[in-house]
Amino acid sequence: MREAYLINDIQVVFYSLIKYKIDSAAANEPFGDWDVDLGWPTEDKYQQFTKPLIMIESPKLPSQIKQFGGGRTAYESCFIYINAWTDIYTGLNEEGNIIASHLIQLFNNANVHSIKFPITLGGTTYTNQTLFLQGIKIDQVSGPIPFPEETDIKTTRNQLQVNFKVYIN
Amino acid sequence: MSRASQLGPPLITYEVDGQFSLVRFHSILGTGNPVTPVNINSIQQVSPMPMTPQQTREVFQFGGGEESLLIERIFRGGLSLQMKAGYLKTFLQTILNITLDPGTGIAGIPLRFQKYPLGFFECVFRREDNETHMFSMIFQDVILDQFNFDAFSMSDGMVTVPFTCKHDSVLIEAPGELVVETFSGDGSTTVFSLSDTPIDIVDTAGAAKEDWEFDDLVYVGVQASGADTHTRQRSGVTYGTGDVTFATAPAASSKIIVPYIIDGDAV
Repeated sequence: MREAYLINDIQVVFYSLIKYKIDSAAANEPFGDWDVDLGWPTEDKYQQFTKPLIMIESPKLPSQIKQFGGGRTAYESCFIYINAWTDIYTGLNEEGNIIASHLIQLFNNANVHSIKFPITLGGTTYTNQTLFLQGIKIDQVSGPIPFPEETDIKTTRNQLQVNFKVYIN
Repeated sequence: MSRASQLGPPLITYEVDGQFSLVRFHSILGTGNPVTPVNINSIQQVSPMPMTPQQTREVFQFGGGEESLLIERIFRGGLSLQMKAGYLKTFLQTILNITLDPGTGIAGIPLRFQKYPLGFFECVFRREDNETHMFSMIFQDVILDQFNFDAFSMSDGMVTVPFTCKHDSVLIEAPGELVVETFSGDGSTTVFSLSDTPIDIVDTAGAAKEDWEFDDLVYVGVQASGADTHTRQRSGVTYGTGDVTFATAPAASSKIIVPYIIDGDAV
């Protein structure tokens, strides 16, 4: 990750991991039925969801880690909201809970740090990346918290909070 | 490096977590070329104890004023393993090399333990990717100390199993990996060939000499037929190019134990 673009790049790391899970899902595997997006959905997705949407918000980095003699920081107690967003055409709360459950299982598994996925940062694509190589260590995941009826067409958003540490490698 | 050196941020590689680490046990009670290590499950905490001298003396001499020599002798170390209580039965069978089978064999393990070495714990510390080896800690010839269940609680029963080591605990740099090999003496064979290639562990010409006879073997032990435990050979044995050579052949039905470290990436 690039230190100067840290907030963006952390968001892209989480996006790329879930995008990889979706793209590499075997036939009939749940991840293959979903879509992922960075930040708030665009207008066309608001109008009608073609697939349930996993929406990744910007990370929050409230607390720093330093070392003796080191002015630069890593970050602890970080968190990012990952949302499972559905509407009346894509399963509403029931599907949202299924998505959230699979994401909880993904992030709770220690092997999440060794999943290899491609990532594009600053126009350059890096293959065989992992959370570990990108300097992210997952601590825990909590939720989901349901937010019903976000839009006129009765969507439901199930929000997970993923807590992690960030190291600048 | 100047006094004005500026360090970077802490790195992810400074973190050590048990959930990414592995505890293995290499028995010296069984046989094998090499002995197959057993992965230990349900470990919640590994607590190594420092190597502590049982005898300490501070020696002065006439005319030497306050200058003294500090002598430390008879070191003891060890470790404690805290695990889920339900796993204890399986764990004891593994380290004591017995099988509980009420149908056809023995049914019980007396909770009073003999003070003989049982084997090696190899704690392999790995990084968050669960693959990259950081370093290992090796506890050699562990002796099971007396213990019992801490308690049977309403939920989440835990037990702490303590071990003593009479020999140096070792920090091994990755990709070093422990191999324990055993052979049978026949009264005439003097050369025993190892199945893998040891790498240097310590420099016996240096400060590590006291507990170490070889640079590239942890030790060579011989257990006479019917004996309770092995004896570390301090003389009459040499090592070179994969062969352990005895000046006098180990007796028939004796057991030869040779632990050593290999380059785990070269296997």
